[in-house]
Amino acid sequence: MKANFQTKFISENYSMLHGLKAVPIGLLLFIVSFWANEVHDPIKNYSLLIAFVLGALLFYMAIDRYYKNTFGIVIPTYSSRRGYWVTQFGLGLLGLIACWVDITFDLPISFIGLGVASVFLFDKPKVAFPLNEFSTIKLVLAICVFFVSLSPLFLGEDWWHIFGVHGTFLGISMLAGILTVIQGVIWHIFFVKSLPTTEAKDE
Amino acid sequence: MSNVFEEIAGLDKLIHEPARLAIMTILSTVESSDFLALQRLTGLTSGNLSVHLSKLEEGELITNDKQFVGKKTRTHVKITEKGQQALEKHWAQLETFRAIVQKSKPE
Repeated sequence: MKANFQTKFISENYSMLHGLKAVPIGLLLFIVSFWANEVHDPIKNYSLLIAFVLGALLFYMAIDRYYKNTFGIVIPTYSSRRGYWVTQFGLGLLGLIACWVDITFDLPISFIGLGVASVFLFDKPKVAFPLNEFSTIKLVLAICVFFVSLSPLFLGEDWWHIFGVHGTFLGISMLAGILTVIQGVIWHIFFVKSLPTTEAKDE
Repeated sequence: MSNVFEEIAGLDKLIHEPARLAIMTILSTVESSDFLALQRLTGLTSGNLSVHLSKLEEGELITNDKQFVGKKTRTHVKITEKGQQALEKHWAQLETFRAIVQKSKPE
């Protein structure tokens, strides 16, 4: 049996700890950024992009089905659900603003990168995860993205060309995609590890 | 101290049993949970979980709602108002006992 606080935490955040759901999102972000890096203006054919989105959607649905069939369904309380969607909406809005700032203004700092670093750092249920090493991994990921976001300040705007990437925005998007996939796999491992392996003591 | 022991003996055994306490604690934090998730969260076998859920349902501490999803049945379990109150009372009692025992520890 797990400690009471840990059982409560896991049940409260059960569906949020389904880390593999982040994998198709991260992959889509990476592939779309990679695609955007390779194509040249004017873009005439969007069929590949649509195929990526549909593929990611199908992949997400398959993972969702896997979690439902293997780990069951927990419906959080109304207040938790509302809090989750308000947070998602707020983060989405901030993400859009950061994208707009990065694309519109020629600044040596990536705001979308700083946003991604903040999400890695302050994403509440995962930071508070009872297994300490998980928080450490999140902290390391956040610091990595933070420094990469500020890298044009020190290394210049064109340093991404070393990797064949045309600019900070695309580079950060690809990095965020890769880190989202890595983090998703790690969430999943910790989620599975956090579930009890021994049966609760019976009467 | 004897009063404390008498009171401990008087704890609600329906909730106090570790597996049922785990089930009730989980259900108190969520709107509902299906059978499989409860099994995963408690580590109980399906047979044991069924027995404990039946006991809790008999005591009107939870409700058990069976739905057909395709050919399979999916059981959604919810804590009742009575169950929530009983659980809160139980934790409060345990906290009180703990405090009393802490106070009476020799220096």
